[in-house]
Amino acid sequence: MAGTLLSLVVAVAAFGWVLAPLFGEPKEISQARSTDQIQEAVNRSVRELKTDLELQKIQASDLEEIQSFLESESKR
Amino acid sequence: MNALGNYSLYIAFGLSVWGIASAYLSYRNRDERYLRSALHAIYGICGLVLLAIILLWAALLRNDFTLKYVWEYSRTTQPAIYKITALWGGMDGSLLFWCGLLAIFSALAITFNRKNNMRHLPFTSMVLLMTLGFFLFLLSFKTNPFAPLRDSAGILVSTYTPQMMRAVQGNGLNPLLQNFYMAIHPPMLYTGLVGFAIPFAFILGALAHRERNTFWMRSARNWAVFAWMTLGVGILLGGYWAYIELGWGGYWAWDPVENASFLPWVMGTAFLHTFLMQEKRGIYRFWNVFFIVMAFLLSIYGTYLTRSGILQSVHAFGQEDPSIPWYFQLGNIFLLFMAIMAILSFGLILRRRALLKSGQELESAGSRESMFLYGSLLLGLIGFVVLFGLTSPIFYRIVTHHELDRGPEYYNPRILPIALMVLLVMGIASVSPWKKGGWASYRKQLAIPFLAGLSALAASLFAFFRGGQASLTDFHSRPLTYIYLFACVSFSFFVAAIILEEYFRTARQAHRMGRAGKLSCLLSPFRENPRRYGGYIVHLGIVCVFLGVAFSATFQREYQETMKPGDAVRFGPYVVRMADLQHDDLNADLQKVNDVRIWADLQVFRGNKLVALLRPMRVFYSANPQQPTYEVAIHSTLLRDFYTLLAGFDLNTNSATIGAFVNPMVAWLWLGGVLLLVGGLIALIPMRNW
Repeated sequence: MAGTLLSLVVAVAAFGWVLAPLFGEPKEISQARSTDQIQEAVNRSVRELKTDLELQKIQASDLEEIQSFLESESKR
Repeated sequence: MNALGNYSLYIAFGLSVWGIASAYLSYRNRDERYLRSALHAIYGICGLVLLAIILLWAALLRNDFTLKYVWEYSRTTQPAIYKITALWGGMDGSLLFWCGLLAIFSALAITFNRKNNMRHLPFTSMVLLMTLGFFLFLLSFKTNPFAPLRDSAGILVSTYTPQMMRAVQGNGLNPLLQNFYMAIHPPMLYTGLVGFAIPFAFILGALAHRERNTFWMRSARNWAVFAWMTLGVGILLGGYWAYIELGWGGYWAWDPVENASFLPWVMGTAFLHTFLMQEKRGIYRFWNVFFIVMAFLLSIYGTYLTRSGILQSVHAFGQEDPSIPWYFQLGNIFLLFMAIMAILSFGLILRRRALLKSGQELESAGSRESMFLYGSLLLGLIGFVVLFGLTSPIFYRIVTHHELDRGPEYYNPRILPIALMVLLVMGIASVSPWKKGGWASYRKQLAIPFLAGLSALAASLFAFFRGGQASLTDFHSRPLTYIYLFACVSFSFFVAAIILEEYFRTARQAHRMGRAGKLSCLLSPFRENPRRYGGYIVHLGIVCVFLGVAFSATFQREYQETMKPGDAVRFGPYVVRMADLQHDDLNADLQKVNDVRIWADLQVFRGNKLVALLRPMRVFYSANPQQPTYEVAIHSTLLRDFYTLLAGFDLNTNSATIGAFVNPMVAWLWLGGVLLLVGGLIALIPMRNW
């Protein structure tokens, strides 16, 4: 019996907590992109490719081309 | 408290239903209030499922036999560790554990991405909640671990008097599962299988929200690496458990359930490689989504195969009661969920196909980009072969009402050549140049590795054919096996040489450019490019696994002799002397002790030198005394394992039959597992601050 009553309390608390945000003011979900993360990903890729340039696994012109492609993609 | 555990599952299921609706509304209306409500539902489910797990553990530890699950998988005399592991020892508990892991991972993933990926969260959280909701439905209405126990007369055991209760003994955990590695193998395996749900949900979320690029989604990639790594280690731990517990001298039998865990791992491997290419070049977007969808669906498929009773396997959880209506059979509920997720995923891929077109074209068939594609497609092909081998017997049975056994004779000839090609591509891709890089650029970089591979081939051929006529006869009896072996040795040395050469070139370069000192440059590859060099350590691990499998499968030798204390017998390169045959009190009351053991004390000599003292055992567990388990004893070195077991015994004549296997290079498999874990961790954890 105690377990059932406790379950009831837990159910009320859980649903109350889950439904609580609905009683707030309407707000649109931010559509902003994470510029930090995107830039970090581009930088990381370029940094790794620069190591490959030192190891002669990529030509300088190809690296520049890839870098500008990644920069343009990151803005799309 | 059992009522609280039971109801917490119902409440969590209710939250998941609301959460799905709320996430969908937030996806349609972009209203943050609904999204926050859906996210609260995930946190709430996490708390409630954890509560249920804790309460079930408490019931197992205090021998609460009023619960059917506790009675089935625990026993008063069972050691505490196996009462804890009983959580995943049976179907209901293992599904609860599955659901708990998914709830924790979901809560962590949304917490880490709330700030940066808010706009994707509506669809992502809906996918996660659908998966949680499915498992919570099963736990609430189908496989509830808090179901009460009834006796044969249908009376609830919870209504028994304390005196009657004292007579109730649990059934006990399957003796085969009373092994330390069963304490860590399933959690690792489940972590991997469940982990793929996170990148799957994030990538579908990004696609649904018309995100063209997912390359910056560090979270999806990190979760995929984490899932892939833990699943890989989990599979190897499962192999180790089978090796030491089943007493057959092997570790992999292409068992359907083994294959079911291998499939998502293969797809996850392909995903990690296409994801890298998308990150660098904006290509393989379709393959990226395809492989992660397959990794997720196949992890659910594996769970379905293990639990639906459709397969016979040492790992399966048993058959379902045929009197249950078809629409409420566990297997059919799983199939329905898989169908929903497949339609959702492939429907989304189809609707967003324009976004999945590659940003750039491939410029050379010999470029790094192409090599990654070849490797991923070969992995996909392995996945297809295994999936066909796994699924065709099911359809065969439905159509013909006969069984179709798919064992090593189906898998080995098909998988081995493709796996060898993967090994070769794995090596070549490491040195392949980006973009236009043609074949000419390979010449310089592959010279030393090519020589290493050739030398290894020559050395292995010399070592083998030195055996003269006997080797020739052996070769003619199974030529393909030996051709694969020689190819594997040659390719493995080729790949290992490439990796080492790459590593030292990078370290030298860091020193030359003044970025590191003479010694510290050895760490610089891991600092500057942890993902690639972590990946190379994983590749070295895979090479070790290839060598371990090739040698142990080709040169395993089996022996068996009946001996008495004092006897000495030669088993291959070893001489074994049985010092003694001993046992626990055989008249012990199995109601009061967990197990009774019989063992042989063996002295193992190589030449005249004592190299090991081994004690193989048979253990009679109170949970199932009719089927004593093997506790094998192994003398393990990097070159070979000497594996012994107590195959039989006769206490009247004081004699024992000792079985033995000489298994070359099995330790390399486990070493490969360690490297896989280390490499995965390096790729996962940035070392820039070291």
